[in-house]
Amino acid sequence: MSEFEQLVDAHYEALYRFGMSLSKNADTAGDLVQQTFCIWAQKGHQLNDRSKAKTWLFTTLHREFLALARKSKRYSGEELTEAVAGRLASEEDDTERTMDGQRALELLGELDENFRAPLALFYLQQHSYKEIAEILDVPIGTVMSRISRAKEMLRRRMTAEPASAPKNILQLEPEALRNNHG
Amino acid sequence: MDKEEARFILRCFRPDGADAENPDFAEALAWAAKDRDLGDWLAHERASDADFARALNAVGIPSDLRDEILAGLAIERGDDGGRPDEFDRSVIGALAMVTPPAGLRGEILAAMARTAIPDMPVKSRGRGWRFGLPLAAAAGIALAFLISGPETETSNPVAVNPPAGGEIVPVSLTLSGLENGFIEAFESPDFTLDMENPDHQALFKHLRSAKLPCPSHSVPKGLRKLPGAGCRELEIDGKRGTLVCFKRDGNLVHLVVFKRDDVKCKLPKSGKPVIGRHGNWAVARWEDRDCVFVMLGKGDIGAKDLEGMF
Repeated sequence: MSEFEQLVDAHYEALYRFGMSLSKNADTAGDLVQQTFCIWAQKGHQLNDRSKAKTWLFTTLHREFLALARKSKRYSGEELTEAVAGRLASEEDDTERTMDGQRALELLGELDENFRAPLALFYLQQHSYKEIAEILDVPIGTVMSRISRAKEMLRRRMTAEPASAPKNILQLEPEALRNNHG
Repeated sequence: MDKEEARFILRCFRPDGADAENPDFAEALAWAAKDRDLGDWLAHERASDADFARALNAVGIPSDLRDEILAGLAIERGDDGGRPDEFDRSVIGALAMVTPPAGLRGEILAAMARTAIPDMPVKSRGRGWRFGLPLAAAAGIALAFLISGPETETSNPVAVNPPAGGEIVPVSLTLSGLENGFIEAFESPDFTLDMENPDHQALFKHLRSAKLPCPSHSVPKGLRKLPGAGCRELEIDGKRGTLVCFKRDGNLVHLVVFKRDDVKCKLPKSGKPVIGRHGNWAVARWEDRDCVFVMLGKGDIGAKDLEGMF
């Protein structure tokens, strides 16, 4: 297995989930991950310390997302699409966990981007808070404060919205579900 | 550090315990160990965090994402031609078999001695093939190319005639070379269309009359519904192809068509394209018996949009 394949295998799933947390859109998340690795192909050789590759990839994905968001305001308040819900439903056998995953994305998506990115990185558990500060290019104290405040906001939303009534695939039209399942 | 400061720091303590050995948390953890209230709070915090982390890490990954990434990386790095395949090996072998005529070296040196001008600029045209080779050497290499053709398309030799000026045209384009050629042409400030017309049939008629590859029978159904913007000839590394542009919600979708024999690649047939990326562009690639097709879009047109055209 090549170095590239090893790098992709090690990180593409977490990067995709980070991309989903940021963009709330499966297509955009996939594009962000692919774009991130393409940039790695062009510039990764400039990174002398290979142990920093993971942080570099997450930093790059976040920058690409910010660049994309600047171009299009539509990422600021977009709900999960039916296609995303269908994908989530079709790719996990454990329906209960899938619904939790979708709900996690919905809850993260309701936060402002300044809080969403550090909290998503925190919950993906790939990075320490210092690395998260490096990825987002903000002071360590700011990251700690944002994680702390974001968790409070998240908990308030979780308690305000009963877990037994998630906004999820049950709201989809039967036709949309059939289409998404091919 | 007081209790509230410890609580603040511990909010950044990852629920899987990855920070347990991190000295930054040592003092705060010591606080939690000696203060029952803070200890209980930390246990509850970690349990709650663990639930959310488990949910987020259970989000499904598209089954084809890994393959798309690796395919995109291969194109980005030019790996589609990086490893010698049968075609490459046959060319390398053929080149090795070419024996320069006896006395050629002496003739070249003598000719150079007669015509040498200090710091003579090298005439060049086009991208990539900028070597001002002596014509005799160029002819020798072209002879080697005559010996072998692309194995994927035909077993017949492909004749390559060095164009005027002694430059060498590659036997075939690579897919990444084709896509780079389109992007370079489209992003050039001089980019124009040969014909602008929303009517597909008018565009196709123009292409046929210019003896250019015409996509008429292989236009994906989603593209057929879009109004045409125009078309033009695309010349990339000496190969003539076609660009047809379609309008979609204020954006353009581009369809690049080259003759099958002019592009070295293996692609699925129409209806099952390879979807990927080329830099900022979303790309769908496929082929039929006669042509190679590359559909490209950027900005608001993503890979999913292209996939939906089929």
